[in-house]
Amino acid sequence: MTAAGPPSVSAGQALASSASHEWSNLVTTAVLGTDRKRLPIPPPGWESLRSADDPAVELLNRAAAVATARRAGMQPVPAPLRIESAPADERPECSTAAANLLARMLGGLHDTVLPEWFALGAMGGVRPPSYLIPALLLRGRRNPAFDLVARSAIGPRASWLADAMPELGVRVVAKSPPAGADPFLPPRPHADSAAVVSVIVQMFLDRSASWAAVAQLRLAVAAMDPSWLAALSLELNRAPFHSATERTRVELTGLTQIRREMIAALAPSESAGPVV
Amino acid sequence: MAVRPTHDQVLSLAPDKAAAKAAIPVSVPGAWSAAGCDDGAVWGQYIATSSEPYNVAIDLSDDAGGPAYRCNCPSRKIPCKHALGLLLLLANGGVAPARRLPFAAEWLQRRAASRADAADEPAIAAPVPTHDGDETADADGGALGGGARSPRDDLGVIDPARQKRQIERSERMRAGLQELDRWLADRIRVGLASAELGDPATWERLAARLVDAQCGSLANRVKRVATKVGQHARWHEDVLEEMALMHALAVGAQRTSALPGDLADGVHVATGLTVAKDDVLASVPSTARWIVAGESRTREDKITVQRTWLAAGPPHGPTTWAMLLAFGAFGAFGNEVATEHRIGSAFDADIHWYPGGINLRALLGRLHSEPAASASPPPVTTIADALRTAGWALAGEPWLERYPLCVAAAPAPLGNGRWALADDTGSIPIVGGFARTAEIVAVSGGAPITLVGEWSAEGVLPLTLFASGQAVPL
Repeated sequence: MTAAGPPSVSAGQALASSASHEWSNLVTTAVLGTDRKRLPIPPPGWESLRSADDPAVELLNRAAAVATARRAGMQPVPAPLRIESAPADERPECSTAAANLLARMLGGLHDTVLPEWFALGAMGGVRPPSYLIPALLLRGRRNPAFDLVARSAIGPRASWLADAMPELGVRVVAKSPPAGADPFLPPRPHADSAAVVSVIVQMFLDRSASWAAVAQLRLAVAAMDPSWLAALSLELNRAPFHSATERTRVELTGLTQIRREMIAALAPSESAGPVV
Repeated sequence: MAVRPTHDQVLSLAPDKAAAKAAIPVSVPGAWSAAGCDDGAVWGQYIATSSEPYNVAIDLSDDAGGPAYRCNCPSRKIPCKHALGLLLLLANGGVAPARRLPFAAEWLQRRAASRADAADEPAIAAPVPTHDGDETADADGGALGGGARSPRDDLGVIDPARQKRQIERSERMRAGLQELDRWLADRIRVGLASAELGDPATWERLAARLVDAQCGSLANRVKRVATKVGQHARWHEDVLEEMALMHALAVGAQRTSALPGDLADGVHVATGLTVAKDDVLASVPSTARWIVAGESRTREDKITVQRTWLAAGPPHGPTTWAMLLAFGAFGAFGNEVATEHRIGSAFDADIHWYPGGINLRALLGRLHSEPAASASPPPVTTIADALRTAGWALAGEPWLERYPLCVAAAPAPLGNGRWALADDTGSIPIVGGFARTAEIVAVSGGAPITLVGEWSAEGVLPLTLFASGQAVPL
């Protein structure tokens, strides 16, 4: 139903302008209905290839031809003004493994150890991957203490993005966490992680490690010295099964695992061996 | 009573050795309930395994063509082991004459009626596939034109019953297309401004009738157009465009014999005629190293349609794109279509194209290499070139709703929270309602980034970002 043969450039331009003329004719008539409005005669080049007695069918025939030409002949629209480039940041993005762990924690999985991600990242001099910046900033809207830490981890691109996309509503920055709020930091390490491991083991033996105790146990795992995490994994694996404690056991196993992976993924040197 | 087959005659009907072997344990009398036979048929309920018995019936009345089978087990073999088992039971004298069970009576009656209708008696009565579940993928497969079902004529003979069903189906489709076209003309007659166009029921009724006419893909299209009514100040233009293209499709589908072969195939697929997978897989493949460039999902009724875009080509184009479709039920847990190919991976493989005006929809044939993580994105073009390529595709199939592109472009704000992708050749808006523009802006830092997306009349839907050696699905 399109015009036959490739037209020359000037013929093409003429056709393009008559196409928009024809299209507005067709739209106007279609809106009012062919019962009420006569269909104007098509401009040159747009004579219907299929004649129809019914003006409504005639309109559809002609509209199909123009619609096809409009779609197939679409052009890019002139580019709007671009945004300013983001300021440079010398720090490299973290490894893919570390990025994936951060994405999972932002999704709500074992985010008890989320503060440690930022602490380790800062130590290693790496930043979160750029594609997670919006998620980090949006989470910060609800949690000023987190926002401070996240923005410092993101670097200059945080405020750049907030300015470039005012629709995100993340421009306002608190200079310090509100009074009384806990800073978003990893818990202070336990002095005696060995004792913590044995307490946890005991709790599974006497079945007091129920789901009610999980918040406390999560914090205990998050605060444990990393060198004891392997031992804890082993003990959790060996813990006797009981329906009252199984959910807690699965949760702590996952948390221990993700913490070990995170420490390995954000280790500053390559010497850190893989997590077994 | 019909002539009793011998044990060996029954086993010779088995589609393969495994089916023959599996049929023997099925043929014990204890596995059957209400088994009976008469002059022309044998039937029974197989009760040995599942809680729901399988209803099995075999039509023996056709002397020339051999038996025809019905069983509601999920097996795709014809005859299945239950049908063979029942025949073996008959051969062993384990079935007594009886009154037909209701399901058997109904099925046999239908067969007799269709035989009476048929002008010539089929020379080879190949099995009639009436296994339950056989037709399920059908309407949804049409969601994008052609959920393929493999043909049952394993022996290469044309199944007259299948042919007849196809004729019936195309008659139904023709009636549906005529109705669609009448409906479109009626709307134009009273005008797009009339109130009934804004009433979802107007569109729903049409969509329902198209579903009845087995034009599933058009029905879904009608529903999509309905959502455009009143969407913005110039919605009349969008709706007229869509109505005109549906009109072209409806008219074209009624006179495909007058169209060039490829175009006719494209019209068939777009209106919902299914193409058998095996026919597609029998075509000459395009072998290349394919990058899994992106994945998009849409919901059509209760079906999730997943498009996986594969790209191949030299670094500076031209790119060959292939679209793999997958369907899943949309259930309580959301999306049930699994991501089959990891985005950003690449493999050497055969691709078989579906027939049509352009090569786009395809099936994956043989893999020549294991999928491997690929650091490189598909070949990148300018926005102008990407639109030109999409334009050529649209010239080939004007009803095309989406076409892939891979561009190096920077996000640029249009105001009102809308964004566009821009490069030196111009820009294309990002579709409204796309929720992850912030990720694109954040990764770009204001500079051009490599991005795979889908063109549509509303703009581009970003699918995948390629940045720092990583593919980020959006």
